[in-house]
Amino acid sequence: MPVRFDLTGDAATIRLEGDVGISCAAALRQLLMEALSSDRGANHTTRISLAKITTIDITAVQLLWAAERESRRSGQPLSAVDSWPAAIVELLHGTGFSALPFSAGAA
Amino acid sequence: MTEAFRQNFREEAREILAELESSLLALNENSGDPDLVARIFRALHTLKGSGGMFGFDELAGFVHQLETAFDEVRNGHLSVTPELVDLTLAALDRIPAMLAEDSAGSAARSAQCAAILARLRALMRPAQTETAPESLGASRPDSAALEPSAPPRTAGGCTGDCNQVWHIRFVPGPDLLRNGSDPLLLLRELGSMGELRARASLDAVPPLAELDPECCYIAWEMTLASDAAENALRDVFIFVEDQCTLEILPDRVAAPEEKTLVETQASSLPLAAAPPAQDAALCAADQTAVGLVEPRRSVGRRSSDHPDSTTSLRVPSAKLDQMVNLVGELMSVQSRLSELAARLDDTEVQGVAEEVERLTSAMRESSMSLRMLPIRGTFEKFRRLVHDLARNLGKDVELTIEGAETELDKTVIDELGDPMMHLIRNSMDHGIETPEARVAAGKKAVATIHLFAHHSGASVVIGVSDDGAGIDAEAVRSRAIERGLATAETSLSEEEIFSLIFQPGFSTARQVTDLSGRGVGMDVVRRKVESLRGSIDVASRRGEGTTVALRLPLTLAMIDGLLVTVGDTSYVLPVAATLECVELTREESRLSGGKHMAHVRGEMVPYIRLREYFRLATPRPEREQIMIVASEAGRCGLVIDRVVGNCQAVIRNLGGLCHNVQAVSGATILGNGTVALILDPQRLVQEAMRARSIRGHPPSRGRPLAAAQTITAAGTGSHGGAGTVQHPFTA
Repeated sequence: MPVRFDLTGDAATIRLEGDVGISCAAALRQLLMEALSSDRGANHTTRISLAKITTIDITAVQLLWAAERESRRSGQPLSAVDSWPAAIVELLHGTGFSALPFSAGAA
Repeated sequence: MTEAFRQNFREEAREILAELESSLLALNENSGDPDLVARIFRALHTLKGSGGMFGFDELAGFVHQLETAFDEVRNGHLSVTPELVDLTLAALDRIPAMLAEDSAGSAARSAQCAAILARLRALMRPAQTETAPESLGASRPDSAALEPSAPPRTAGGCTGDCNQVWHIRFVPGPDLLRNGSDPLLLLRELGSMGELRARASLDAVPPLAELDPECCYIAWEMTLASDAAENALRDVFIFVEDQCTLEILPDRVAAPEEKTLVETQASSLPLAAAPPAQDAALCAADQTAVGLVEPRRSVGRRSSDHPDSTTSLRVPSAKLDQMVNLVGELMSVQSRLSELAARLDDTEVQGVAEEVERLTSAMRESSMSLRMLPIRGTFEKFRRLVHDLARNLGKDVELTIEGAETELDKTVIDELGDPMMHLIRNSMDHGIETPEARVAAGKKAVATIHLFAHHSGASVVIGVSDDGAGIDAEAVRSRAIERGLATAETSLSEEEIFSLIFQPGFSTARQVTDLSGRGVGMDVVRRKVESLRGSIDVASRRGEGTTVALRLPLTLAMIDGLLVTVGDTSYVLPVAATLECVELTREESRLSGGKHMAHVRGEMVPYIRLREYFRLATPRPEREQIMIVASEAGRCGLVIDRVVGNCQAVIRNLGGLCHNVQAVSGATILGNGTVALILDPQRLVQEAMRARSIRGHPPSRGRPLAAAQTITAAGTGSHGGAGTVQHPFTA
């Protein structure tokens, strides 16, 4: 399952692993929406793990970028727990994305 | 599992082949049309790609060669000639066998394919050694508007150190992702063809809450420095052409200093306020480019070519037949409900029954219309036939079509192919003269065959018309006399003479050609049309041409019927066949002295008593009815007990064993659950008259029907759950 959700206490992690594409896009969106939902209390933090992604398609890039934008707008924290794999960075740089969402690295 | 995919591909391939054939034939008429060439290339490309994907390697390899040839045509290296078109058509003819993976003929087939490819290569070779002068204007109309200062480019991009720069704008449409494409992969492929600088625009991405995860909201602006030809760039997007907006514009050959202007740094996320300064340069360049040249839109190019395939479903016809059957049975039950409601005298039940009737009627219309297809497909198929025949016979013939959108029931359309083919062959072989003869007669050298179709009342008229030599009535007459079908003294009307050509074995052809002249074709046409309950009309003028029109019912599945009873048995007579109904009293029939003649409106009309014809033993009522029908021998009557009323009968086949019983054309299930035979009055009268003339006494040809008797007796055993089913022939 390319998109998984781990909850340990108050720390939630959306783990992206392997081939992240259109087939799990709906699930990913759901998880991101929940992570950004204002229902979650102040103690809840959600992080995203990207380092184990092997392939990615435009749907995931789009979702992550929209999630990051929403996080900035609403103030709900959402950040990456690790870094994008180099190959993915190269792919996305070469296809028109100068900056990747959640690329500030471990916060 | 894979077999299902391969089967799917076979069907798709057949459709692509049909499209290719018609495009190629059209190309013959308009050899300079770049859209046609592009369409052909795209179809070959798809055929090759999908074929390879599903393991049809022989096909993929073969089509690849054809695709290469048409790539050369696209690039202006190879011109369209009738030879190229014929060769390609011949090549396409080899493909069905490859689809069927028929190993039997494979050796012969490989030899044929090799021969075709060799000839293709021979055609292509001279073009490759030519230094092709720039013919971009011919194949790409948009580049004609380039600034005059733009240096000429040789086809295929530049050689040497000049790098052509392309501005590409790519905006995926809503369905692009759902169809399995990924813009990132497309861009990566583009990047492999040169130096790509891309900028993704995220402006259109909605808030996460409104975002459809399977829709792409990102658009790209790119510049690509590449030696590749524009077509090669477009080919990257060939499978998504209809699902995106794509603009590929050539830039002037960029001098080294200009490169930095054109180069863009991909912008940071649009969150950072205004777009960076260097984008301004790109925008400026964009604007000049856009101002000069009309962007070539590829969205929607195909849909206008195939107006009926935008949103349609392929459904096995067995499923459709099943639905029609169910609707038919529903109608039977619905009429029982209406009968019941009328008897119960309960307004509430009657109200519901009325609603059910309204809905059932609508369902019937709807399901009947599902089976209706435009005749376009059948007509278009004949283009190839006319093309090939014209070649073989050395005649110059143009095919025109009128009324291709006329819709018929699928069953009727399926049956039409053969008769129409015979008519067209006949027309081309015997009707149409050689170009020399035509010119000598003051006609245009190019003959015309005109296929037409239109609705007329409850029928559809389909026909073939030519401007050839017309039917030689004298020749027909003398041939008829020779064959003993007429004597020299009998005067035949023109109509009668023309109808003679439909006699089996009749042909005025002095020479039997490969195609016709054996006297088989027209007879087949007549029999087929009769089996479809239709009629033929021939009109001809010597020296001017001939028109053969077939009049057929709109559907074979249902019939407008008149329900009648004889004793306890019900029959259905087609409304179209009946003229009127008159009462016949016992007194009157006695008066005729056993001659079975009745006095109807001053005219003596012979009649057949169905009770006797079908050997029904129930006693004759005091009053009977005569149903007057039109037959070849004039008006004739069928004597029945009572006319019950009109009914819409869903025709059920009686099966192969009853095929020879001409007088009965099928059966239907009535509202009360019983089975009624559908009679064909014309045939019935014919049979009766034949029997009478053979035996010299009133028709009693019940014997062949004894076969039907046993069949219905046996057959009804299986109608377990349908309620009481009566044998039509119970004593």
